[in-house]
Amino acid sequence: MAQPDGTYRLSGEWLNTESDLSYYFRADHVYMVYERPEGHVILIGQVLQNKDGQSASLILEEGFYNGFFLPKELLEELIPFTLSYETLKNLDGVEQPYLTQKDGYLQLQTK
Amino acid sequence: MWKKIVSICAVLFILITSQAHAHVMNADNAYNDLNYTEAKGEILFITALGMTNSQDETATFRPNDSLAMEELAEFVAAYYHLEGENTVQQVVEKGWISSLKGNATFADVNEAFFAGELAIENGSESLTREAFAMFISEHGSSLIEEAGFTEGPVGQVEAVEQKEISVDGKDTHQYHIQIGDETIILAAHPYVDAPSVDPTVWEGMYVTTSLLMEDPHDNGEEVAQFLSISEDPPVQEQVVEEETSSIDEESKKETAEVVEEEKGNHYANWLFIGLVVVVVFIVVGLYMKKRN
Repeated sequence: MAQPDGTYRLSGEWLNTESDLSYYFRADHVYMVYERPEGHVILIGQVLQNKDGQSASLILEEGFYNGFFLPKELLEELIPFTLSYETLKNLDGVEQPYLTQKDGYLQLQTK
Repeated sequence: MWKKIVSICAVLFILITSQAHAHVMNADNAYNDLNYTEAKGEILFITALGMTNSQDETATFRPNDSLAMEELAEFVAAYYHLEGENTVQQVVEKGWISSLKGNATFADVNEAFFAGELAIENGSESLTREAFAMFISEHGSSLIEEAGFTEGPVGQVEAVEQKEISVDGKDTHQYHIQIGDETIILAAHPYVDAPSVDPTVWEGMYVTTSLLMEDPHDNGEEVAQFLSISEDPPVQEQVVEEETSSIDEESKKETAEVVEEEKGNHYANWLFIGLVVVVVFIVVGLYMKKRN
């Protein structure tokens, strides 16, 4: 979403209209909550650049099902979303993109 | 409801103990109120020095508030790890500050941290909390060593590698940052003045300050606890570049002058030859005329 100052951001509010999970972007972590009558899932992660430097993914660090730890192996399998830098480069003024977490949104920045 | 309570407790627990990835603290997540201050890096610097350890739990720094004497005493007590009851009163008893009343001045800060040895002109002026951070950053090189830090390498980040290690039986990721020929290890919870908290994004950026310290959370290794990182080359390098380019300009100018001078000499030579030819013609002409 383009901002008046020419920057781009992905708002948690918009993402939540497209997803069954509720995403809460904070400057330190991204929190995800999925609530059903039979269970309550909380996931915590960070948006980090992948090893190839060509994309960034939301990497999960911890997860809980009804308050109990989810195994690390399961969290490694779950990648909620990945953003390709190649796609982001199509936006005006974006040459070397990277993403930072802010309160309420992901900020697209360029080196 | 109980599920929520259990979940929230678990979240709080994990936020305190989790070390799955390095949790880099920058101006966005260390405090909630640094959006409009020009002293973000300086505030993170004094935080890394441990001066703000005893501050309230609201995660605010209040950069524009005046620095009260009592707050100065808190900074001093936290920096020197004073223990026991009423540590701020201990600061007064040790003679590091004169009293806990009113607002602090630059002279009070000078006295508290530098034994009054800095030559300052505005000693009687009071200061804000962000001005305090800037003052300490500007004059605090002696405090770095005193706090137990060693200064690490600076320069362009060549590569960032993520390695898996085990700390107290828990798997965690550790970032190894290559700066020139040296590699430093990033602490689990470092303070970093950088546009991103993701270390892999720092590749190609410039480390202008790195402070290292041994950390029990990283198996007792010496790790980077504070980094200042910029997207642009440091000003010093820019000055060198500017100086180099001005030297280039001067040498170009000099070369041009030499070329011009050589050109001038060239014309003078031809003029001289021309004159000689004319004189020879005149002499020969006069000789022929006389002979006839």
